[in-house]
Amino acid sequence: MSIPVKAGMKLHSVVCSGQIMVLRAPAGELDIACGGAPMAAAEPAEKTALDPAQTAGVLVGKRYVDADETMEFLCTRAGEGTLSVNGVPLDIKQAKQLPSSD
Amino acid sequence: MAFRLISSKPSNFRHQTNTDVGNSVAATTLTPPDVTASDYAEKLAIELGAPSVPGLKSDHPAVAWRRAGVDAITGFPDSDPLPAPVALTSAADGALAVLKSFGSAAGLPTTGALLLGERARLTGLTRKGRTAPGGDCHLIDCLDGAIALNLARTDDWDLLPAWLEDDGVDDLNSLQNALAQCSGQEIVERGRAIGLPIALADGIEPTRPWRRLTHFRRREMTERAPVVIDLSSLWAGPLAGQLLVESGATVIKVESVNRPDGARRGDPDFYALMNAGKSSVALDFHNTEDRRVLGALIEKADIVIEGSRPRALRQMGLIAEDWLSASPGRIWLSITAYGRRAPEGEWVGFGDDVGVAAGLSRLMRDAYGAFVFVGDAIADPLTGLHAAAAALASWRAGGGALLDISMCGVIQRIIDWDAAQLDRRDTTVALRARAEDWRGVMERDDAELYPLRAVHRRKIASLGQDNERIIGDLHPC
Repeated sequence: MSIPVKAGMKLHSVVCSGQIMVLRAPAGELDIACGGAPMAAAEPAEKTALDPAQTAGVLVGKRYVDADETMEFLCTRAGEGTLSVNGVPLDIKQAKQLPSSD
Repeated sequence: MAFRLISSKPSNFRHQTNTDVGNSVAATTLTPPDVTASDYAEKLAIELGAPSVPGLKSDHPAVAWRRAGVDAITGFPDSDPLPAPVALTSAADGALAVLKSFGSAAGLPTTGALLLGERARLTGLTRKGRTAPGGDCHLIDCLDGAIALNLARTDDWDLLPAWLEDDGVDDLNSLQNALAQCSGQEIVERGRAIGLPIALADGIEPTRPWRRLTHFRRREMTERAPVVIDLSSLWAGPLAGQLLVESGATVIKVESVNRPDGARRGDPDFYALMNAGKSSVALDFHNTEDRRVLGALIEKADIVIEGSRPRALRQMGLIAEDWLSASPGRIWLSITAYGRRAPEGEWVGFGDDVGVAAGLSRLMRDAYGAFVFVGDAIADPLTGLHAAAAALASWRAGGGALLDISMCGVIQRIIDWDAAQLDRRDTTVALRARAEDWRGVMERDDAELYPLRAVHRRKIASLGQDNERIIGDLHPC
């Protein structure tokens, strides 16, 4: 299920506790899924079953990107499902470079 | 927008007093006699169970402010330098005195105040008013006040469109325009939730303890010097580690090869001062064997210093509480912006924005009429001093402690200690009188600045320089 995506939008997993925020996304619609099921704009009242093949998990505070880094998501609550966009799993983005001074 | 100081009435508040002012300042100053480094040291020593610090002499807060070079980086660029109307230098001098009370004063700095201006003097920073001297942290107006946002990490710029739900935000100007339409409270909450170092300038951050102490098993008291693993980076944590070096500890700085201490790319002299005398081990934290080595190093340590959000090390399998429970007498020194508890344990903060969160810029507004930054990442050196004193006090008492040090809490502690000496009937009037008085003290002082500490670059270990020796010692064969 593809939906239009905008920076700042929050998405909820329907199979686990996972929550993400869209940081960057290309124009157009994307099929964003967690644990094999499309993510929802609101917290679902009931969770559905997690696809046992989609359990890489999401870690709170980590950023997730596609292979070309055309899109970026921030995990705001941890969960068990694998994040994917248009069927392709996302990867954890390398930690932020520390500043040289603060 | 031109900045003008609140007009200052001729001061009726100056009396003759016999305070501990520096030798070249005329003694026609109003200095509440309780705002002294000696008083600060005495109270901190009692709190930490450290030896008492009798008869500590130190310079008047405004004199020390100037001689440490912090005046030059506080205020607006086209106006005079300003003293903070709170005795931050006395707190620094007092905390250093507590540290020295444990015996090894030789290599420690001559004054604590010196540390507050050290980086700025080495790197030639200047005062920029609503931008911090370092250039990355900004005080920005919003609908109902002002916020401080620190953009020291370039990646944080990527967060701004999502944070403000506005794809057009890509520079300071567009950021200011977008924030002018936002409520400060809401935008700070939202920013913290996504990991931005951000604070309200005039909101009141709940007062949290500067040091939360969780007790674990102690061992017998010892005079032995501790072995310290220093996982921290930038300023507060490394400074604490370096002060422990000067107090006799063996300190091993452990960095990620992928993400070494960012201060290595900063001013080399400053880096040298913060890390002199430490060994360096560099490990790949994503590699299983290196993770095992890290575990083994920590297993042999007496004290761990780290400045990460609690979940970061937990995700790597390093659990402070487990390590502390495994053997008596250990100390875990955690230095975070707002302490380890939820939710603030998840918030990011650096020295400039945390100083604002604690209320320093609000005090400047109360005293001078405008929000302005105080010093250069001033929460960092003050926290480093307090953290080192807390760690050493705990070590001498037998250890067995999780020391949860909050940078914001350290500044709040100093502000509260200081405010207790102000006239309570009208603190704003008292604050303005003090600010006016201290400006005069500062202007009349013409002594040399405190001499900078000598930099010994040869004492600086290059990244991973000691890997072979230290890792080799772990498994003798």
